[in-house]
Amino acid sequence: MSPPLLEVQDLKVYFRVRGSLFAKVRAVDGVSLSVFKGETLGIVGESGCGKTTLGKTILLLNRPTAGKILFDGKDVSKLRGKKLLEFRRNAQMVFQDPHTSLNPRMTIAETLLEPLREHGVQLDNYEEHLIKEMENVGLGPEHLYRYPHELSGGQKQRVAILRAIILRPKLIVLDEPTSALDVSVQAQILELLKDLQRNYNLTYIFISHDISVVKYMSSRMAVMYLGKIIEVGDAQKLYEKPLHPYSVMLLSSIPIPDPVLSRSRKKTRPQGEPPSPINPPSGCRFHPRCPHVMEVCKVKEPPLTEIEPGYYVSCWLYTADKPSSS
Amino acid sequence: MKVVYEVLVKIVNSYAWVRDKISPGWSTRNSSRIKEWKLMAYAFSKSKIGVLGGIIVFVVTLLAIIGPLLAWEPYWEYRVVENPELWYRPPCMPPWCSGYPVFGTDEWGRDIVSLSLYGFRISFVISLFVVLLGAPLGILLGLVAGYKGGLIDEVIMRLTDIFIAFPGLILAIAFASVLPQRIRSFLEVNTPIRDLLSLIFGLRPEEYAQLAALISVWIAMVIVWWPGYARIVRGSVLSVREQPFIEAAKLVGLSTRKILTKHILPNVLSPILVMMTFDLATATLFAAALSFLGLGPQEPVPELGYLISKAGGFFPERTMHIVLYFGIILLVIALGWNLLGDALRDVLDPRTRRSIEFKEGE
Amino acid sequence: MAELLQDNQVLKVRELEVKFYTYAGVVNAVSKVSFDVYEGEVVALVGETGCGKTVTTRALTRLIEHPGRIENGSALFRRRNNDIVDLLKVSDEVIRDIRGNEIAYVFQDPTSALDPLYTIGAHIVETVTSHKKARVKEVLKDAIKLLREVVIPSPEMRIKNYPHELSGGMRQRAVIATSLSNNPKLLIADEPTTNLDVTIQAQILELLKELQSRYKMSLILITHNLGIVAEVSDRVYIMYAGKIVEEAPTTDLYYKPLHPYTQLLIRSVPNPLKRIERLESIPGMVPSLINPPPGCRFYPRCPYAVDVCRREEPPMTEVEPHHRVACWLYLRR
Repeated sequence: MSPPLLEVQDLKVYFRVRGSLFAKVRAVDGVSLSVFKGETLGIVGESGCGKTTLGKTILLLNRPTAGKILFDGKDVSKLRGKKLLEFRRNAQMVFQDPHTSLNPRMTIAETLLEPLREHGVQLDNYEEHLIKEMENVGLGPEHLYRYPHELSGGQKQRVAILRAIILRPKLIVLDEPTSALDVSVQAQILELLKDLQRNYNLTYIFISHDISVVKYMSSRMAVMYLGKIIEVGDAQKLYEKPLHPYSVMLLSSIPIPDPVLSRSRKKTRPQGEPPSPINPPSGCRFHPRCPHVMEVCKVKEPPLTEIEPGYYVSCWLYTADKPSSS
Repeated sequence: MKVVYEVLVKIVNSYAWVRDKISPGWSTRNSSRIKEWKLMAYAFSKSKIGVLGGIIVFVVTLLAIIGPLLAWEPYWEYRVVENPELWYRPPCMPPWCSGYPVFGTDEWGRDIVSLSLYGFRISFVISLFVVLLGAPLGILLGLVAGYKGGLIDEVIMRLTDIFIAFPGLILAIAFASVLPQRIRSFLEVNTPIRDLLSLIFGLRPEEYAQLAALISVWIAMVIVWWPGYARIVRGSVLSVREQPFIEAAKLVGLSTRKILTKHILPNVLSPILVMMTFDLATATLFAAALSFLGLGPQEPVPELGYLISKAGGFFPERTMHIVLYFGIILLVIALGWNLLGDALRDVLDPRTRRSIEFKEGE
Repeated sequence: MAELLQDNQVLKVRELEVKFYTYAGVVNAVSKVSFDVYEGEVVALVGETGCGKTVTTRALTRLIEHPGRIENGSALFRRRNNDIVDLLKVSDEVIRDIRGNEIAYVFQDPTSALDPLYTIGAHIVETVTSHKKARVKEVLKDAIKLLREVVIPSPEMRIKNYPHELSGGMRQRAVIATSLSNNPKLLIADEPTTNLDVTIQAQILELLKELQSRYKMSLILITHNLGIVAEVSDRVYIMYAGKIVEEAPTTDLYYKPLHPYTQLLIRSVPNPLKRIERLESIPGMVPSLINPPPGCRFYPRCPYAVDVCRREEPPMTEVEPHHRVACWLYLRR
């Protein structure tokens, strides 16, 4: 198997808590994962789990507190200046809310020209080039000189997607790209993303709280809880047979658009409230809410272990506790 | 108010026509921008007070520009020396008294209307200079403080606090005792600058001593003027900075400087423009107040505030007409800017535009 | 008056019309909408942005502000004392009496529904005391019970908390508790879980269903999420461009969707239990409601459109028991 396009090693991103010297929000607390060229890795989790922070840190919008980010084999976590600019050309992002991810005071043309100009792309005729590019995302030339507020939500998101791919990057992080859109528009955008991935050989990291959408788009899925990845593997397998108790609960909570099936399936609910990322529980972070909690869970954190080729879980139910390791 | 709207639309169209001649195709590339301007013109024309303010400002600006050229009496001639009757002559209408100024004279026998034509220029220029110089400094500091945050933000904001707390009046007094002499000596030597400044203020180069006082008032004002902008800009920047399109700009690879100028500044411009408009009113009055207290130019420079203070000695028996006349002028100037600023605030608010926007084709 | 409503019917809305008078023109936000709500059931009002579902439910208690106007229609409501009133025509006093008391709302964003300067307890007290005389101490005791029912732990402490001290999920539960404090006959929940996490969402939906059956309350659930509709609702109304296009019991709607819009809508949602090659999308955009064309509003985007669809609006017809649709495909012509 070829080396991964992106490799994250023990990434930690901590934020200082306002008004406190020592308290830190452990948004990402030791995440390791690999993303292979051409695949879509889905990341699911609820608010506060750190998935958005993870996505932004991979693109160096936040500086990692610790750990390594390897892109194409090279460590990018400390890049600055020209090298950083080069990295930016290869790794882009599509944001959640199309209404605020475009500068309201710039026309679509200006927004799209910016990355081209910034990275020194010389063209004979910018207008022609932009019109051709816009066709790729299903926009007509009449939108070129409009302001964002003159476009619909779906059209705005298309512009945002075009802005991300206009330099033909290798990796795109998509942070809830369809959550702010209507259902019928969502379908259009998801299909567009799939087509673009095929045509331009893109690699996606797809972050969302909507597991149905993630499963539809991804080949592999990772579940995050309180700053850590607790399960990762083939998307279909994970969905059909989630192993980690949290994954089980998460998946049984998704509303299924099928009245008979949704009401007949077994539902498990997590007890209690989601804990705060400032003071995570000791041992396994899920233990206060886990229905299968054991003594070891309260004390030691389970490592992310490969229990099948390519399938990892972090849970004492599936990993034997080795007395020697700490 | 349709007339106002049509006039404004004509102005926009002519501007577009000119730009098209310079670089063909400009109108198509900026068709949305042009539409926005017309929408703003529409919103503006719908506000009666806005139009009133606009008209006042227009007239005041016009008088400020051509005033000194229109004035029929040179302000430096003391008519009363030849004709003692002209001392504080009250206003009178032509059928009863001809040959005397309609609105009356001041203690030097000068026609107060002619004086006011010079006064418009002085007040206008000083308020403009103060705002145009004070604002950018405040804006720059506000941008940096708001965007960078942390220690830089704290330092700049505490600096701002110090300057806000500083009483401008005391500063002006302190300056008035030292600065005018320094500036005077400077102007004596650098005659081109002296001539240029005199021209701008509508005065004779001979009055450069008074010009020096005027400039020291101006400098004192600028120093206390920028903090307001720093605060307002910082506040706006704090909210704009969190928007995803700023992160997107970072992802494109833009430097901080470019992000501030291309993305943040245009989006915080509206409150700045509104504040500047209101400030022009405030600055006019503040400058007049400083002159009233004697910190500004003296004889024979006809600064509005100074003229009112001179009339205080014989108020109200002999000088009611002077105080009223110049007082009302100051009132009208300030009112004009305030009304305009009010309307501008509504016009620049994207929500107002959005609700009007449905009306296509205009 | 009793014949106007069936015995177990709580609400009967007929031909409701709401228009917005903007600079541009008249926006026909809600056009001749009719629906029913029976005792103890969960009715879902489904549609995408701009279809008029929110405006419809706000119109029920006359919460429409300028430039909106309720033009037409009737909304017969059976009050607690069994009186039947037309909500659109009663006096302001009566409407205020009903609002928050017999008809309660839960909105999408719990943060903006709660005044940050008042404790949770204060909110509930205000809601109760504005409708009946009661002593604050008594109300607070009931409030604690209510908070316990919406599964807020340590309710005695939470009563004294301010909204910002609660998590998003708890806030929404507090809002639900506040709306329930007067034991309403009808609860209208407008996208109550859109901003919440999936697990909290599931908890809240279950809670709503449970409370609804315990208090014998009717629930109108507004949402665009077809998964939620399938989980919780008994009957569904599909809205498009200000009109109701289909009405059916939930199971029938999902297994036998009749209106082309409904069919496309269901097929555009990724159902994780099925293998889908490609998601269906609906080409085009929602039409402008300012000068709607004469025929069916879905005509420009409908894959089965025929000429009559362009010319005439199809009426609602019952195709199967309790399953109604407004579409020329099902009318013999």
